[in-house]
Amino acid sequence: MADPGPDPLAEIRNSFFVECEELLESLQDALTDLQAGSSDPETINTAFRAVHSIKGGAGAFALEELVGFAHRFESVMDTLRSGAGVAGETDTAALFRAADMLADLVRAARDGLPAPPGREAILAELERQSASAPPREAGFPTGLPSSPSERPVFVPVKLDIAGLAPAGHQPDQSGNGTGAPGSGTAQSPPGVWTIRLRPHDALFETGNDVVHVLRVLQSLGPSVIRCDTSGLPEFDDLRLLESHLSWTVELEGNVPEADILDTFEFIEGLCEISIRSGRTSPGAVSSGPDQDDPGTNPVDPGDARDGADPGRSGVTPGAERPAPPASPTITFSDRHQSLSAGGVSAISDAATVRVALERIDRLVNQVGELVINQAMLAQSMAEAGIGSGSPVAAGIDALSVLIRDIQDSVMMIRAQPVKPLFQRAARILRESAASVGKEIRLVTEGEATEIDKTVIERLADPLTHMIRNAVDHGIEDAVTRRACGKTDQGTIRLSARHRSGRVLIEVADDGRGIDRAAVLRKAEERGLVAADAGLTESEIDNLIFLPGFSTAATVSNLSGRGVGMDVVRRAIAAMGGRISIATELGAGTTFTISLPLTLAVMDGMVITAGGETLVLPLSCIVETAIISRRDLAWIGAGSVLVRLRDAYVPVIDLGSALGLASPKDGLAGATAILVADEDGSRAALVVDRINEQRQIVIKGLGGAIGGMPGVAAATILGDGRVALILDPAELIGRRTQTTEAEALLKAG
Amino acid sequence: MTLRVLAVDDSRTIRDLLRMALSEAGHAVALAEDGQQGLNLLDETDPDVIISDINMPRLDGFGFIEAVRARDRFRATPILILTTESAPELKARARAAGATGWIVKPFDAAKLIRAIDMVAG
Repeated sequence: MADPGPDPLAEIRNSFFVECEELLESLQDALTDLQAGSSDPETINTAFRAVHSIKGGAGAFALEELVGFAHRFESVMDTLRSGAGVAGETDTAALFRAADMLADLVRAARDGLPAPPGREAILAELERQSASAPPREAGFPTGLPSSPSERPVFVPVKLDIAGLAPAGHQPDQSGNGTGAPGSGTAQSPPGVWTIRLRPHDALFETGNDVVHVLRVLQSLGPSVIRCDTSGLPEFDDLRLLESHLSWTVELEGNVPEADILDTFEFIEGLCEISIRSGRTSPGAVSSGPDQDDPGTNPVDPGDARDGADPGRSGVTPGAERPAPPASPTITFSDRHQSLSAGGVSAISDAATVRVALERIDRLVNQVGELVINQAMLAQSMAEAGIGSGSPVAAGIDALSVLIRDIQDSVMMIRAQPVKPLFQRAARILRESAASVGKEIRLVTEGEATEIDKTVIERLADPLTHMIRNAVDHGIEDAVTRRACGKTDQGTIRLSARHRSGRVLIEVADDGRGIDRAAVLRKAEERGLVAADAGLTESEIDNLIFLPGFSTAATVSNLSGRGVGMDVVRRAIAAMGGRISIATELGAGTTFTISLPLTLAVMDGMVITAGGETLVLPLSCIVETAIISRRDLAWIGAGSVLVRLRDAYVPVIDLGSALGLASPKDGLAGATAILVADEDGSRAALVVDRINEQRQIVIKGLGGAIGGMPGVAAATILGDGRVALILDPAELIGRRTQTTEAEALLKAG
Repeated sequence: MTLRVLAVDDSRTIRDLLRMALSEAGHAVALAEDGQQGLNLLDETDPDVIISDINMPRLDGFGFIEAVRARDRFRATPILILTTESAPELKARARAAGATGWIVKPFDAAKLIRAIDMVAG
């Protein structure tokens, strides 16, 4: 068994927060179903259980603010599910807000942050809407204080034993359950208690057993226990399921009465109990046993079971209780030895196994090494002149297919459904729609689509921004929509799907679409494009991805806080993804994000520049060309342009740009790779030669070279050499900056 | 004394806590996610004590307890319910179904061990 770690409780706490996320997810699902009009009682039950489980776990870790909120939330849902209020009548928005707050509280508790404000308002609204929701049980204070989160909700409730005791057997107790001892007894514990106990038949039907109670009593202080067998009928009249015995316990040692009462917690109402101070005296138990009573034998509870077991007669003759057919402790005691203490004999969660992420990452790395090794092997075979027709080559081929399959499988382990991401987006949408007073419906598709965990995490911020943009700029207000013949309620569609080895995520709104004339005007005003640039529609649409671009007339409190679509595009590009836009004026806008399935592997072009082997991501390569002299143009200060497909693009001598070699003497006849970054900015990279196209395993770079401009990461090639993976966007950007600097210098 | 304890709760956190507390007390633990799974594990685990949550999917605590009691072999096996409330009616319902006792959450290892002592010490 694995080492449980230094602090198992801390691990369970961590696991609790993971479970909370799952519960919050199912809560969201259930509320979404309710909102859609689900009348399945299991829907509200699921929501209730989610909140209930969060409360239960939070209680164990004394997260009182979370417990307090969850309790009141749960109470409202209990009212709903008990039919006191039909779900449809309650505004699901209030439930969603409470669910969102619950999520915030969970995360605050997890991160050790103060609980977010505004809880009381959310709860008050929820409780008002669920209307006259009666308190669920008497155990909790009914008049909830104005800020219940300030105090623990679990108010200790004194067990009212007298109230639970059967009628006719209360007189020995004060009846107010506050611990006052029986009549005629002082408040302070007497030196000796006399406790009498006569079980009803029903006691045994609940699986209770007097022997355990006697043992617990015995553990409280020095005691003498006697069993009264005088009630036993003749053997022939004995009925197995009837109770015939009673016990008297004399307990010394100034035991507080409350401790004694606690002992009877489970058997209250299932037996006659009397508790008196002082030594044995006549009491509630009939035939008042005392030390001289010949029918009363001192009993050690350790023997009581034996005495009660019909199979072990002789210890207490005839002391037979209505023993159930199976007495586990005796019948199966031999089996205890085969079970190790603390062992786990059956485990749930059979369908899934939870594995630490670092183990998976290690596996991913090792499979990466395997891929590299296989490539090295193939390369050395080629160098050794082993032909492709040989059995060895066939074996290597089969091996490489297998390795590729293993790699896919390993990548699948890291894959996770986009559902949590979409749920987060749903929340953003609710909040932002509410803040601008728009009514917007979210439709999601393909929530089960899986992507690499890292991609999902890094997608959260861009997606948030896109949703806010759609709410803020995309969807019109209700009046405008009506004027356009649209429904008042806007729709944002969020979908995910796999397509040809990538994941496509779409954010589509049915809003006003992009006004190209306005975009172009704005871009020209800001000097982002020349007035006579003659851009295509698609090029105009893509202007919104430029830094510093915003068409919103006023900067709202949602989007437009200096974060624009350029940031979104950069974040997606950083993952090897692309974003594109399709829009129709008056009909809506669709953004499509295309992402690699994993960040660990990519398709690359292996090149040589400045004598070094380098890798370019295939996704950024437009085409390759040999530069001809007549296509070259010099614009001074060392800047060179080349005409490729009727457009001039800057030329970057890669070897010299990276400081690997001195500039090439002549560019004519050189091999160039036309690359484009996500802006559509292009450059022709001049290289020594193009080697091969292959899948490469991405290795992170350490701090020392991690910041090297133009370099994104590294990989290990088939021959075992390390090659740097270039970042074309940065290369192009640097080139542009240099040009701008030169222009400034000239102007100055 | 080592007891075989079957603990049934739909919350993974509570299951983890139960496993930890029971293991530390020297008991052997079997876990189930809901009443139905608990029933399925009855024969295999042959518990000395059963601990069950009330609110669970598929088969809730009340249904689970009734089904356990319907089995002759487990008619007297102590069953403790886990409940967040100290509501008398909840306890009465559980007792009517055949529950032996209860453990009131918030979860607390000492309370758990004490409750087990009271029914199977």
